[in-house]
Amino acid sequence: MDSKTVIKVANLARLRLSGEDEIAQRTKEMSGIISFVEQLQEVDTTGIAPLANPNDDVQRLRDDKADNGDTGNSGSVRVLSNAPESNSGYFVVPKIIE
Amino acid sequence: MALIIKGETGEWEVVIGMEVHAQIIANTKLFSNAKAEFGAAPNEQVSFVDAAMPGMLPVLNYKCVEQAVRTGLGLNAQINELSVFERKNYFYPDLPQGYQISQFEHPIVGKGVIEIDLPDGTVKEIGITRLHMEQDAGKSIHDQHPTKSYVDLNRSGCALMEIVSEPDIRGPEEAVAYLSKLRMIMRYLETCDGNMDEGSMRADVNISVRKVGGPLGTRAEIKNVNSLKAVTQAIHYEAERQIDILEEGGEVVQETRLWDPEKQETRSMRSKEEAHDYRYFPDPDLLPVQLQSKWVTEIKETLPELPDQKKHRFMNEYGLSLYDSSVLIAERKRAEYFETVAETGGDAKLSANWVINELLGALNKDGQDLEAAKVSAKQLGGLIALIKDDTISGKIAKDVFAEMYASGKNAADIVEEKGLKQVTDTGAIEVIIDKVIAANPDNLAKYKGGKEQLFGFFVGQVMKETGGKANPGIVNQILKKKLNS
Repeated sequence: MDSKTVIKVANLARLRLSGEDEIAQRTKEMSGIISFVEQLQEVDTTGIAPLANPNDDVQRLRDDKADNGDTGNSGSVRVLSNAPESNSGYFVVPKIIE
Repeated sequence: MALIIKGETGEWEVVIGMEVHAQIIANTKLFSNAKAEFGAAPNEQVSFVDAAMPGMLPVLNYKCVEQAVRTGLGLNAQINELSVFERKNYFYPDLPQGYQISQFEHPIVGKGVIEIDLPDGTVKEIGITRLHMEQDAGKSIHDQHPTKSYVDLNRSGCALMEIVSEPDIRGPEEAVAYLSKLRMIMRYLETCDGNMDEGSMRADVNISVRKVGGPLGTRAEIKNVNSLKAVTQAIHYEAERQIDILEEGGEVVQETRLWDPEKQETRSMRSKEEAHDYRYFPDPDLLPVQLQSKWVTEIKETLPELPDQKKHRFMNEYGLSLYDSSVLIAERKRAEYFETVAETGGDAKLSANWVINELLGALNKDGQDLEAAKVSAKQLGGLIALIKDDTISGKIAKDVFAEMYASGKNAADIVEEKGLKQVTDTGAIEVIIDKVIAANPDNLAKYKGGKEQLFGFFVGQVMKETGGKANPGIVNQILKKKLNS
């Protein structure tokens, strides 16, 4: 794990690293995590299917029924009340330039 | 038909694969119970799950899984009993979770194949690579404010099927035929309404070029291709662009490009490239989806006859051409209409001609679809039956049809009211023929003198005398006998 990778991953995850010191510290921490995983990889898993979830169950399915308590006009007001800024029913965010 | 482009250095062929996003028909979203209807006021159909509020958990919609399986079966594809939802990570304001829940390594549907019908009357098979379920994103609007973007999350979390084709498509005609057939299949299955205008079916086109028969070239992915016309234009533009680069000794860059319908060009979306590292991993909020094979079998039993099956049956059972069959199967209602006409009229080929040329022709001219037709299938079948049993001639039938089309009246009533019944009484026809021959001694002499094309003149005169109602077969027969005697 080098500092270049750490900077790239931080950028992808939108994490701000405060300077050389923090980059060095995070690089050390992440190297630690990687070596821990490497240790796990020493276990022979030939012929064992990868585990998608530790919960040994299958997905339960929900009926295709709309819940009016959670949507509709009142829902829109409720969900928008969580927005720092809104206008005419829209969430308002800083301009995204493509 | 494959598109071959002549360049400076030889002939190039275009290789195309498509990724189609189709919105699943369901009442609610993939992982939440908010409504999934089109056209609601902004943010009116957004649950806390769709807005990714802390602590909210996704719960998978039964109907969406069923629709994905149905579509997979309709694409003659492998249904995977175990599939896994993964997180595709990227940041954008219309994706509040910061990741899209999608399927990656273990999609619900694997390889399949469909037939496409080409304008030159041939059929080609196009391979389906996979179909997977995923969430749609919301919508951003950038032109409401100088420094702000507006976000509507109604579409956020709606269920999509992404259908990926093999790179088997060789030009715009095939691409359009592929999209049309895919749309047709999903409309038959009622799993997606296929409405490209409303964005419920969207296509990304992967294009590369190569010398005919040569190794595959580097591809570019073209986004924002939102109509059949745009697909055709974008393919032509992009193929020419890549050929120019290669012929000048350059290299095509593998990248995502945006189709600009105003400027009629594709351009690089560099911003998309940086974010291309999606870091997929299984979504810990969701367990693997395990399908019961019994359930899959049950779904299979509810499938309607699919477009290609119908097409082959029309060709085999009714002896229709590939062209006529593919026109008739384009919509399920249209195919049903035709079958009722054929059954009532008693002649499938004749019925196909009348449905395609007269009815659809007239509707098309008026900018209407079949729903708007005043003539019911049974009524049109009634008209065919009258032609079939020689009550009226084909020519008179066109006039009758015009009136049926305008008024919705029954053919038999119109024939009765206007006295259009064909004269098949040989005695009556003979009298008229004698009259016509007697009135035209000059032409009779010329005919006897060898000017045989005058036969048509006599037929015309007889038809005129009878107001077009004489049976043409009988007229020909008697006239020939009389003129040659």
